[in-house]
Amino acid sequence: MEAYPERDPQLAAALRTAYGDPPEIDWTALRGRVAAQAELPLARRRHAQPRRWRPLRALVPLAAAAGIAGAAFALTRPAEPPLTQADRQQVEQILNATTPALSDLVTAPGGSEELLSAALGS
Amino acid sequence: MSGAFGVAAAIPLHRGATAQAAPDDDAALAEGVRAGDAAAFDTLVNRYMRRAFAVAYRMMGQKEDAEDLVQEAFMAVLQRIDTFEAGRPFAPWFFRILVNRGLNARKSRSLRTVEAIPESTAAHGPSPEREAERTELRGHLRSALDTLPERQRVIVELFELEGFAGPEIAEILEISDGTVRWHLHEARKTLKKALAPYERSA
Repeated sequence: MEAYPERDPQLAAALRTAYGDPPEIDWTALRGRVAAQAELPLARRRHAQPRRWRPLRALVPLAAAAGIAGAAFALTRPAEPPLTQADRQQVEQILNATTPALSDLVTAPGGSEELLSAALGS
Repeated sequence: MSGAFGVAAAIPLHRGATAQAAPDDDAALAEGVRAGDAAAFDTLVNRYMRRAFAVAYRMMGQKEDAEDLVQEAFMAVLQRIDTFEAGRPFAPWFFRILVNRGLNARKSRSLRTVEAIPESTAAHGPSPEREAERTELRGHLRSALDTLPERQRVIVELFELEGFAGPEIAEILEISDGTVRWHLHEARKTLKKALAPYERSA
């Protein structure tokens, strides 16, 4: 591709002389005018943004309805009946049969030594 | 000259350099503007208004017209931000809006020639002889500039004064690289011819 010519400082200086430097203006005022004029179009854009999520809005009441239904089900479900005396006894029997008593561990021959070794990690 | 045109003054004047390194966050700011973010828009305005005014002033020749043009261009940015392609540089896209609007405004107002330059900006020479020579040069160069086709004039201004790179100008004016080079060559030929008698003093 053919290259662009070098910039010509002499020509640039002559052009600056011909045009003069751009005058000084109140930049803050210009910026303020632009900002003021832009306020409404920018607000419209901000307002238009949620439209992108509008299709998902239909799901909000559905999710709320599902939540309420779940809570209602949980509240109306019949409570578990309390344990009877017979049930309690059965549970205790099972526990006694499967779990060694603490006293057995402590009083068994060499039990305290074993416990000490286990505690020291040796 | 005051620091108001510091941006223009900082333009690197060498081949291939862009007028101003495109800030990395231009794309993010443009995205913000798309979403209606006033702070993002204000940052872009603050970033580009000085250069925009310099270009607009050279096109319109009047301070008030130039300010109006800059304001209109920024409003057009808001209207057309959805057409801005993310990933492309913001500056050429913005200056395309500005330059096209400026060209249309000039056409509709029949502003073929730029109005007289205020004396305050023209007076640089310390001696009356030097000032007289400058005035003569200015008049001569203005006549030469007035003979250039509108686009040619804009191209030479954007390239020599505003520091835009050739490909950026091609993007701004929506013409090919080759066309920009040709216009630049022709414009320089005309202006150099007009400047020839003054080269001795320069």
